[in-house]
Amino acid sequence: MAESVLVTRNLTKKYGPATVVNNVNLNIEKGQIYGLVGRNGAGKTTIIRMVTAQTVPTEGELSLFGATEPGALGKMRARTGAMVEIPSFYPYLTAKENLEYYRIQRGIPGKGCVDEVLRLVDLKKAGGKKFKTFSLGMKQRLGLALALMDRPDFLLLDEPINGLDPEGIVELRNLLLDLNRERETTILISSHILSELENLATHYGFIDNGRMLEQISAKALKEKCRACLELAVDSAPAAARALEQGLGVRDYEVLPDNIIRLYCHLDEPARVTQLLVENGVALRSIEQKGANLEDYFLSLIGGVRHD
Amino acid sequence: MLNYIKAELYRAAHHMTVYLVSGILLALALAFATMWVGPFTFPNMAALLSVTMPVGLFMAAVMDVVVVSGIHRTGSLKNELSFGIPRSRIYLGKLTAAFLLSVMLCALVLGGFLGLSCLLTAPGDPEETRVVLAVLGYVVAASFPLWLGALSVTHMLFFALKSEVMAACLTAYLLLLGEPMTAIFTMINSETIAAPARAVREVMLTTPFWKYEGELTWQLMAQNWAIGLGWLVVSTAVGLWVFRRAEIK
Repeated sequence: MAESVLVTRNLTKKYGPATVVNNVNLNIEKGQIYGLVGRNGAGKTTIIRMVTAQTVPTEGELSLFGATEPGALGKMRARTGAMVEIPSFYPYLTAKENLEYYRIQRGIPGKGCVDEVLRLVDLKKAGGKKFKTFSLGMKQRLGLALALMDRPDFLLLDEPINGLDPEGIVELRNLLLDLNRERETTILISSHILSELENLATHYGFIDNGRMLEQISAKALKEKCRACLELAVDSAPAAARALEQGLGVRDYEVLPDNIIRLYCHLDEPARVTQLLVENGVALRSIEQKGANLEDYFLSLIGGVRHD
Repeated sequence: MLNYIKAELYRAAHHMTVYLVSGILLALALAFATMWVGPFTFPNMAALLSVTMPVGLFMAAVMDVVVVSGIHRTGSLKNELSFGIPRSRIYLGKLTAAFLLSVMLCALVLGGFLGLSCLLTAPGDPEETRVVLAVLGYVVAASFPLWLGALSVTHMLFFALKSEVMAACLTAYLLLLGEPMTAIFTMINSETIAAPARAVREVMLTTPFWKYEGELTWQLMAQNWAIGLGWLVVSTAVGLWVFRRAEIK
């Protein structure tokens, strides 16, 4: 069984009467790239802020690398790197000085790591520039450099793509994939740019209104979102028989309420209809289905809201 | 903790304000020294320095502001917390760094003033010099805990209040107007108001400086240390309590 990196049990955060995070149970295992998916205000950042000690949970508990007690949790946080919301640094210090300040503070030996992470995020040339002159994209890169400085085992990134240009997004994606592959870095990444998460995540957590709606692996999600012909019939066993005998198909799924999902012959709905009719199966509806992450998320939360 | 303090001093060393404040205070001290050079001897100059001790309250406050200003505005605290640095270490580490900077600034200004006075004035009577330097040593030692109290109160206000303007105003009020305002209440012709006002005034950080005009006793020294350390302990406890519960954004 893989080592659990982050586990939360009934994690709850309330601000006055408002419950921002509501009984969230998370389980992130070593080596996963966990995409936390949710709209703005869904509670993604608050969860990350609780994990990184910026705010205290109202109820519930969290365990980091198996540690749950406050003192032990603090020690385990030293194994993490985090970038939460907009990266914050001292404006009057240069990028290099800012990182050097945190290097000294954390007791990381050797000044080489500062240059190494600046190179890693492509800020080597801008290392001598003051933070106050940085663009949002450069700030994001510097935030990432800080998160990576002590070779963390667990990386928490809150909307890291914000402000990055297309080239920067590709570089970030490749960097995260490399870290995950080569150093086995576990990554928790929250984003509302779902197409980007699709290229990265091995697991997903869907959150809305502070509640965890579903946790699913990318593989299982892919399976769920597979393109298919969805047939609503009067008798699923009869329809299945007809499909097997008439078209020789094996790649289908029978769902409750006499629904059949057919994963082949997608471009032959007329032939499928004719076959079913010929075999005395009444067809209530036939629909081409298939979803991407965005569609799946929207179906989970019940569609786009217009409030 | 040592790494934390080292990092704070590294940051302060790259902060223009540290050099600006140190330069201005040193220039003022040297200008003040040169003003009196003509008719004054070295013991006179040292005696003059003895009456400037309240300035140390503001120097300590300013040095603390250099260390803590921007902690809420820049949002840099979240970087420290997310790495697992305990909040108590952040609070006390910054306080210690501000204390060390204040001591350095104090040594620079006192040393600069005395050094220039020594160079530019007549040496004076050796016995008089010895007595005046002993008095100066006494008032510095007696003022030191009060400066420390001012530093820790400033620290607490800047940590506890999200608005730096509000924190600066409260610090200024406490160090400039707190004691005179309390003194007004002591004059009210009602013991229910005047008696507590007198008690409060007795423990205010600025009150002990008035007592240097009288006899310099060990009892006065002990009182000053009790007042200064009292402010240090209480304000640090309050500051830590508030900071441990604070939402960091």
